[in-house]
Amino acid sequence: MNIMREKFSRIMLLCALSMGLVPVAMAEYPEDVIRMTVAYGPGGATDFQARIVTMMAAQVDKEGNPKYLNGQPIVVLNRPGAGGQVGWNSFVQKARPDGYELAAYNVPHFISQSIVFPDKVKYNINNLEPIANWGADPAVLIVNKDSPFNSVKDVVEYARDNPDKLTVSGAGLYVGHHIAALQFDRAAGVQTKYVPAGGGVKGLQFVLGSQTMAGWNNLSDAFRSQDRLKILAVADLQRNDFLPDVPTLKESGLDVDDSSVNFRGIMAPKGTPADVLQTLADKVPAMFKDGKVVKKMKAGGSPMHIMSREEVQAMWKERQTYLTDLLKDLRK
Amino acid sequence: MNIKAILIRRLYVALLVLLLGGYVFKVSYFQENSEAYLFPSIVAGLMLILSMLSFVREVFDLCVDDFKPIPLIDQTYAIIVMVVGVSVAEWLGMYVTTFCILLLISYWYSNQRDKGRRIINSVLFSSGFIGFIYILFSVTLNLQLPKGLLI
Amino acid sequence: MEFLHYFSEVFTWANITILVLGTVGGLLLGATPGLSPTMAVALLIPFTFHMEPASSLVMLGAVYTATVAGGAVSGILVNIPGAPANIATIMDGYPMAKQGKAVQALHYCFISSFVGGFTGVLLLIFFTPPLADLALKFGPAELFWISIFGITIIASLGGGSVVKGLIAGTAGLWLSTIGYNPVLGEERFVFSEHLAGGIHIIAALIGLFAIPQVLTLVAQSRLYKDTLEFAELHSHGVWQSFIYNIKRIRALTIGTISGSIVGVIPGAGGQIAGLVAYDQTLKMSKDPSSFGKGNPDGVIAAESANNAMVGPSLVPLLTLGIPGSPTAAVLLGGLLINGLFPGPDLFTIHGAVTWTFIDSLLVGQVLMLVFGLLIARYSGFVAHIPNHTMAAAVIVLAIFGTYSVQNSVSDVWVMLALGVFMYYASRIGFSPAPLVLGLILGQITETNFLQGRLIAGDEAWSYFVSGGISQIVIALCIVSITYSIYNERKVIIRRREEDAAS
Repeated sequence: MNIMREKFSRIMLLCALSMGLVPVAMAEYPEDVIRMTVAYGPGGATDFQARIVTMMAAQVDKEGNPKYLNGQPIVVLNRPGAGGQVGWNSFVQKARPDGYELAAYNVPHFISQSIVFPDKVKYNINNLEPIANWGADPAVLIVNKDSPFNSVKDVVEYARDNPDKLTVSGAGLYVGHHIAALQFDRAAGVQTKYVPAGGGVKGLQFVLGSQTMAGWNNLSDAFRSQDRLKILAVADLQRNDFLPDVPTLKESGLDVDDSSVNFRGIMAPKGTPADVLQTLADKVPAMFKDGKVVKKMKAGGSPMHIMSREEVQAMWKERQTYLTDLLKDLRK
Repeated sequence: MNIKAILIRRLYVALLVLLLGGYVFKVSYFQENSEAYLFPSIVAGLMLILSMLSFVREVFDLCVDDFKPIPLIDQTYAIIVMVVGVSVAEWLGMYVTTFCILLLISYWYSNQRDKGRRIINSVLFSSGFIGFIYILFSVTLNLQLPKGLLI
Repeated sequence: MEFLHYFSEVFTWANITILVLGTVGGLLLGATPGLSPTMAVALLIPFTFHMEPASSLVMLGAVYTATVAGGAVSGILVNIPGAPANIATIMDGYPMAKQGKAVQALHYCFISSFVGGFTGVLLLIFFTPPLADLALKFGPAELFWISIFGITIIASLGGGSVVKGLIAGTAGLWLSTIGYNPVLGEERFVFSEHLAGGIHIIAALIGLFAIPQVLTLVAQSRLYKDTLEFAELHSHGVWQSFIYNIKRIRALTIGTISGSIVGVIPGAGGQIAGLVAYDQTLKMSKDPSSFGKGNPDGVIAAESANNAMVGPSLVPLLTLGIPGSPTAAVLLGGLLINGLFPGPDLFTIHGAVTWTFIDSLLVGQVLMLVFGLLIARYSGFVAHIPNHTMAAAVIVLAIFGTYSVQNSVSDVWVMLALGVFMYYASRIGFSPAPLVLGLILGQITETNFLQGRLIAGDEAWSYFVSGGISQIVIALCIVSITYSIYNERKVIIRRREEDAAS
């Protein structure tokens, strides 16, 4: 009833504005601006990438025909706080499932939060619908240029001899860096001391200033600071194109997989109509592949990894299972 | 107001501050996860000590009198308009509600004696200012507002 | 002298147009209560997608410079600081305006901003490598003591009673712990869903300053007074202001030096540069009691510090990719989008873009001065706006400004609640400045305190008190506290003597 009334009033308004010249009922999705919530503040890696990958949404081709989303832009809204919890909580509670309210996701962040804080966190993989994935940023193990550690082996040896003494920084709690640190501890049979820095760049600063002995950080951020850092390993299944000389943790003899890789993509709330989801799932990956987007992402040192809706659904399920096992001791 | 009345009022205020400090200390200190509440407990402890100090100083009259009169009734109308306005803003739409706030405040507090002029002035100002807000926030800064029933 | 070489790049028609537009736009955005420099820069990033790298940075730099200075305008004229950085400016700026010296206050504000800002950019040009190494020395222990030093400033901001100032300050510190524990992830004191994300500093700033001002305005208009009791506006020549301003060399120097130092420290945020400078100037002044009553030195120190902060805050950003202030964090996005990675390459391979950007900051300072002084000329009309109109306009700007920070109605509620509360608290002797300072510093203090404890493990005590920088800052804290106690005693003794005399 409420929705009917609201639709009616909006149509009335549109009619009044267009003086009845545009046949409103014929329009297809999307016929309005799409809003996308980003659960991190402006200037961060997620915000920065989200703005780049959505910048071509309203693009039209030479004849003036809409290229991707009917010529409608995607507008980024920042809602930072509590490592993403504030933004995602308000998203699942308030967003209307009409296809006009989307959000950017970070895996494993939101999945591990939903596992560790089942009471406080209102979202989980079951009340969110993935649309497409744009990026994958693996965690890397970094140390200061002047550090005595030169390989993963050195770090493991030190940690083994000095339990609970090796300090490692990372962006925050239960984000990819923390998962990597937990996996590292488990694989090497050591106990390191993880210091959440409150942001990826801040975590990098701790390593640059030798406040912590080592750190887990985004490959894209560490890549930019190589003149002051040593990158010891990548927590991924294969070496990264940006850093072909850096071994994976597996090559360094630790059984750590790609669970800590920070996947970024777009999602919608559960209940969004199937045809709308289909439209988005068809068109959004094409938008990510736009030449201009790819060029800007490469210039910014942000690794792209485009995945379809089906692929992301499978990835979410797999992460959910793995993380539940890894984090079961930490559940509160 | 005579001196005694002022003194008593200041004592009441100091007592109120002391109670507030006590409450803040209570909710901060008696918590399970002590590490997470360590900093708030220290701060609340400091606040409690300071409010005790302030109370003692009031008792012995060691303070500068810095009270100003509180004209209660005059603001109540403005506060009600703001609170009601914000609570319906998401439902009705930001522009409609802020227009109403502008209109009501500028009408009610105007000192123009002539009612007709008062209304015309308020309507003119409110429409002009809402136009400015629209150009600033929606056009220049591309701010996305909640989609209300109206606009 | 590489920077001289690239000046010609700044003086192309396109870049000059961008600079002028950015400066004027930035001044106006900054002067609008509720729009902070961080917001302004963040909102402009999308515009830079389709611009040349150099031009987009020139625009962001111009807007950054101008909004920081512009924030003082609403502070001086309406008693609402445009950004956290301008809190110290209003302490003496608004009393000056009330005495009819609004034009002078704005003149001093822009002239000092120019002196501070220009020096800051020169520091950026000549001392980047040593400053970058200095910036890296600030770890959790050092930042913890810096924020404690910030807290000791509270005592000078109380206005009336030092104890009341300190109570307000601790209340601010406590309010900053609402929400999510930054290190341990525990959610605390969320009494209502509107507090889920904690109290946003901009929402608090708008609420604590704008709403009490609105309520004061409406209370006065009900007394059938047309405008606030402003004294007759003195007209004041620009040259007169220049000469006076240059004569106040002490305030100017203290402001510029403190601003530059605070700017380099990553994470301390330019938000406290003005307050540190104000506090130092007050303590070194021969007549501390004249502060808060319209002493031009207060405006000069605070504003020169604010803008001196801009240049040095770019040092850790450009060399290490670590932003020295919240606004610089947003600028980082602007750099990356253009494929400019912070680090040594920025000054060599991408030198053409980087040096053009830095040179444009120098030119931007000059433009900021020129347009700022122009704005000052027309500021008199603000004093003639009737109270009811001003009140209505400020309410709506406060609502929109708060909403726009995080697109959240919850923030508007927090803003309103704090504002109404502050109005009544201000009637019984509490002032908003210490509360806001507590809110700003609370998060920094707690984060660094807990991180330091985590890093140090069992040796927490020795971790916090060892280290040269920490010890210097601890000494500063002790001096600051001792001074406050001494001063408070002096005030009480004087009052007793007066009582005895009467």
